[in-house]
Parts: sequence; C-alpha cells; structure tokens
Amino acid sequence: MGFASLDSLISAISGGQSDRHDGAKTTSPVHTAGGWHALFGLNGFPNASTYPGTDLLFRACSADGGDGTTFPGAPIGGPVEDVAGMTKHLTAISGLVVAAAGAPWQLKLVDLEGYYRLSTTNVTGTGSRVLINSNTFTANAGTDEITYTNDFTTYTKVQLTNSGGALPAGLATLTDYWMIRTSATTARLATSYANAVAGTYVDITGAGTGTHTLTIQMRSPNGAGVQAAFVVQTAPTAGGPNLSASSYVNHAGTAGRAFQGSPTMGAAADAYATRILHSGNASGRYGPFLPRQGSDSGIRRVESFTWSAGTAYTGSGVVALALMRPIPGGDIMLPATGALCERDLVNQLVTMPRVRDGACLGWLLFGTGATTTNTPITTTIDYAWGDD
Amino acid sequence: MSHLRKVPSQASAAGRWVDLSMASGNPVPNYYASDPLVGAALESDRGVFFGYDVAPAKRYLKSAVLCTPTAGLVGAYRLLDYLLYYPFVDLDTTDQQVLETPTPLARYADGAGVRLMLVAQVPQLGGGSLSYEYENQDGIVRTSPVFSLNTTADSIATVVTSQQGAAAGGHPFAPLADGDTGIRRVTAINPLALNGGLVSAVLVRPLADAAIREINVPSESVYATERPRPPVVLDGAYLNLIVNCAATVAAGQVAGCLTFVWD
Repeated sequence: MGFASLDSLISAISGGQSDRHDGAKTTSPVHTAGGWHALFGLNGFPNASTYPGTDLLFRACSADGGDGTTFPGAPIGGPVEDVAGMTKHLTAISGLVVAAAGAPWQLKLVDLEGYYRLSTTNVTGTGSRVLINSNTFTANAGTDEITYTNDFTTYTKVQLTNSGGALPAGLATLTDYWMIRTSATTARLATSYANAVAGTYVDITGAGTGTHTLTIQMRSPNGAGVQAAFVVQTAPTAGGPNLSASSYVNHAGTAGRAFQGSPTMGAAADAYATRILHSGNASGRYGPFLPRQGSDSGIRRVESFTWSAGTAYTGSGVVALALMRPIPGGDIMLPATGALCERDLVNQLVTMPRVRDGACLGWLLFGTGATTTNTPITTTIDYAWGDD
Repeated sequence: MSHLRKVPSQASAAGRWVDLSMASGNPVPNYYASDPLVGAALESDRGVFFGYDVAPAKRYLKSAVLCTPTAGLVGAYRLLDYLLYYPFVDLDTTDQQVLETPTPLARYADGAGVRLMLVAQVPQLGGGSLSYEYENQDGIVRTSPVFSLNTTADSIATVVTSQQGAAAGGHPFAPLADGDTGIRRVTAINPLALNGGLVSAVLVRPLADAAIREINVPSESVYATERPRPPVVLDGAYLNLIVNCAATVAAGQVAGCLTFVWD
C-alpha cells in the first residue's frame, strides 16, 4: 500500500503510475473581503455543481458519480484500491489567480464527501431542520436490489442494521457497502467502491426479517477529519440568522454533538453564490468550517440544525450544508496576482496525502481583499499510485 | 541541454495565455499551417530540442531556467507537448466545423490528460461561444459544455478562452464533459455565437509549470529534486511554452534553457 520509499515512488512514476489534472474556475460574483468560498459551484472545469437533490437528504459526491447530475470533482483516474491493492497519493499541487484586486489568497484542497441541500423554507425557516441520513429498506433476492424511500446518489457508502429480525441473506452489519443506483428508490450493493464502479454487486439470497435500515457513511472511515460548512448556491434575498442549535455524530459515533460558537450566517452582502456563509470578518463568523465540539476530530453525519436569532433569511435561496475533508498539506498561499505557487508534497512538505477511491476533490478560496468578479483560478493536481 | 529564445511580435492583453510556439526566435515559429480542419502533427525537431530518440530508455525534464527583460513576459509558464492540431477553424460562422483525424495521437494514445487549446491564427473580434465534440479517454464520443470565448479582440497567438475578467474565462484549456480526463481526437467544433477569426484547435499534454516573477532575474525550476515528479518527455514530442502574460508580449523576449536526462 502506498510508497515505502522514495525509490518506490520514483519507480512507480517512471512506470507510468502518475498523472496530473489541470483545472480552471472563474469566480462570480465579486468576493467580499475575508470570505471563504467553495469553488465547486463555479463555471470552469471540472464542471459546476448546483447542489441538486432532495432537500435535507444527504447526497454523496464522488469522482465517478459526481453529485448525481454533474461531476464537480477533479477527475484523477479511476479506483485503484481494490483493483490492484494500491493507494493513490498527491505529490504536488499548484494554483494561479489573476485578479485586479483581492490578493493575497489561500487555496485549500478538500474532498467533498457530500451535502444536504436546503431551499425555500429550509433556508428561510427558523425551526429545527432534521436531516435525512438513513432509510428503511426491503430486499429482493430475485433482482438483488434493495428498495427504500429517498433518492440516494449512486456510489453512496452505507452500512446496514436490523431490528426485530435478520438482514437479508448475503448482507451483513458493520460492513461498508456502496450503492449502485438503479432507480430513484432502488439500488444494488457492492462490497467496494471499485466494485460499484465496475457494476459488480452482492448476491442477495433472501428478504430477511424485521426492519432493515441503511445509514450513510463518509468516504473517510468514521468521518475522520470531516468538517462541515454552509455553502450558498443561490443567494437569499436578505437576512443573516445564527446557527443556534445543531446536532451531529462525531468520529467516535457519539450523537448529539453540537457546532460551537453560535456562528452568524452572512447577511445579504456576504451571502452570494459559492460563499461559505459563516466565514468573514464580522464577529460571530467562523471559516471555512463550523467549529466542532470539544476534541471531536471528525463528523460521521449531521442530524439537525436550527437557524434562529439574528435575522431570518428571505427570498428563495439555495444553500448546501457540505461535509468535506480538508486534504493534509493541501493549502497554497497565493501572495499576488499572476504568481504561480506550487506545493511539493514529497520534498517540500512531506505529506503525500492519500486520496481515497472516489474522492471528489475541489478547492476552497479565501481572499483577504475583495476579489474581482470573473477572476480565473488555474490549478493543477499531481498524483501517483503504488502498492509498495 | 537545449536553449530557447522567443521574441513575440504580436500584442496580447494582460492576464491572457499566449502560445509562444507562434513567436519568432528559437525554436522556429509555428504557424499551424496545413490543410484546414485536418489534424496534423508538429515535427519534433521544430520544437524545443531535447535530443534524439532514447527508447527503450525514458527521458525526463531535469530543469528549466527562464529569464526575461520584458515586464509583459513575467508570469506563469506551462510546458506542453503539442500532439495534434486542427488549423483554420472558422469562427465567423455558426456552422458546425467537422474535423478529420487521419492518424491517431502518436503519443498519449489513450488521450488521458490531453486537453484542447484554442489559439488565434488571425486576429479575433471576440464575443463568441462554442462547444466541441470529441472522443474521450475511453473512446466514447462526448460533447463538451458550451463555453465563452474572449469578449474583446485578440491578436494572433492568444489563447481565445483565456481572458481574465470575462465570464467563465481565463482558462488555457477548453473544458471537458463531466468526468472526462482527456481527449483522443476532436470530431467537430460547434460555434454558437460568432467570434470572428480563425483558430487552431490544438491537442496538448501539459507537462510542467514554471514562473518568472521579476524581470532580469533568472528563474530556475529543478524538476529532479524540487518537484516530486520530473516530467517524462516522450520520443517524438513537440515541446513549447505558453505564458500567462502580465502585459503585452509584443516586442518582448524570453530566453532560457531546458535540461533533459534519460535512463
């Protein structure tokens, strides 16, 4: 797994087990000073996500399945882990911003695990919003499909539980499965991401008994390192509420954890498309991520949140509560316009972060000043894979 | 070791990418001159020289030194392997331009990592938009998203998707369809709004990046030790540079040398 030495890395690279991705995004609208922005929703390549889906339902994102509509993650090759026992690692990244104003900037590389889409009254409302992370299901041994209520994206990672009986024969608890979507309410299950992409699914040989439940899982095991942020897709008309209550399951599986600090969501001028709502220079702002509770080092899923106090949003905004894992070593400082900045993750900053199969890689951008609209952001991601 | 000195004659606007293969100097300029809309390859020995065939050994870019006395040529540079170009794509019409590919890619034959770059062959009015059809890295025919070209005029050698400050602009390469990593061949260009002018649709494989941060200060990039991945340069490659210029590159000059090793 991975690379045991520089020799093995060089050998892998020389053998063709490396490549690079060239990406480009264009900002819109103007970024206000001190804000963080998720570039997944911007035009360019990879293509923009509109955070589609069903309100409040977790929508997993992956390299090979995208957000279910578009593919907002950097395409960095197919799965390697179960195919060849390898792992994939980043070896270098670079960024270039050309703008009339806004420097310096910071780019942060993240793996977008997925998001909960919020629109209409889920943006303007002040009551508790309960998020959907699980569904009960039935199984069909004839088609090897499971049937449930909500429309999960293909390649969503899940675990199964049962109450009052036994899971369908062929399926097990405490085991990761990846969904191969066959319709809005049906899917087959694969034992690995690679198998799911290949269309290889589990043979279900019985319907089981009792009540079966599937629960979403993060790509990062137990949600280690996963953070949360509210990202605007369509700007609300006005307002700026506070995150007055929340509940999430931490990396250890403890439920009822709460985001800290009662973060203030951006008011109109700081609530435009791509903006991370709770980032900025004003008091009560935290960016790019919502502060986790205590020593929590990850998030398995968010259960609920409440936006109240402050001023409720109006209009018809769309916001995504995004779960993403920052890539270690994946930060680039950009001191000035037109200055290409590179980060060598092998020699300069020895991290060689692992990128899991299916990772939906994209960038967050922080601008110390107001950044001109239509600013081009050019990035590269170099990566290699090996099994030494 | 190979030396280069490029002396662009055509004006460009700040923040746009410019194809230095079309500039005078050494290596000799390339004009993308061949049968319209028919894919053609550039001859290796007319690009940045890197020695002769070494197969079965492999050749790597060891280092690059670049220097310019011209403020406009300060900026990011990208070394490309130019694989195939389709010249004289007419952007004065909204008719579909069907492209022929008589021979497949000689290098990176599966197309993975290969990108499309649209370079002005004559001055452009700007304001156009288009999509293109291509065969992706898996051999599947795809259509790109619609994208905008520069909104104001471009001179020869400017990449017509690279205008800073234009909606969806500022990019050296054209976007791919969802999930794709590269292009084996382009089958058609679909202009949707008139742009004016002729462009060459160039399939390139980005190899390495470098940057000049100040005039008259040599910038050295040692890919063998300062980067994790010294770029592989395949036999037969046509190498040249594009630059994200700080101002017009007309009458400027950039010089440098590239060092290669093989084993």
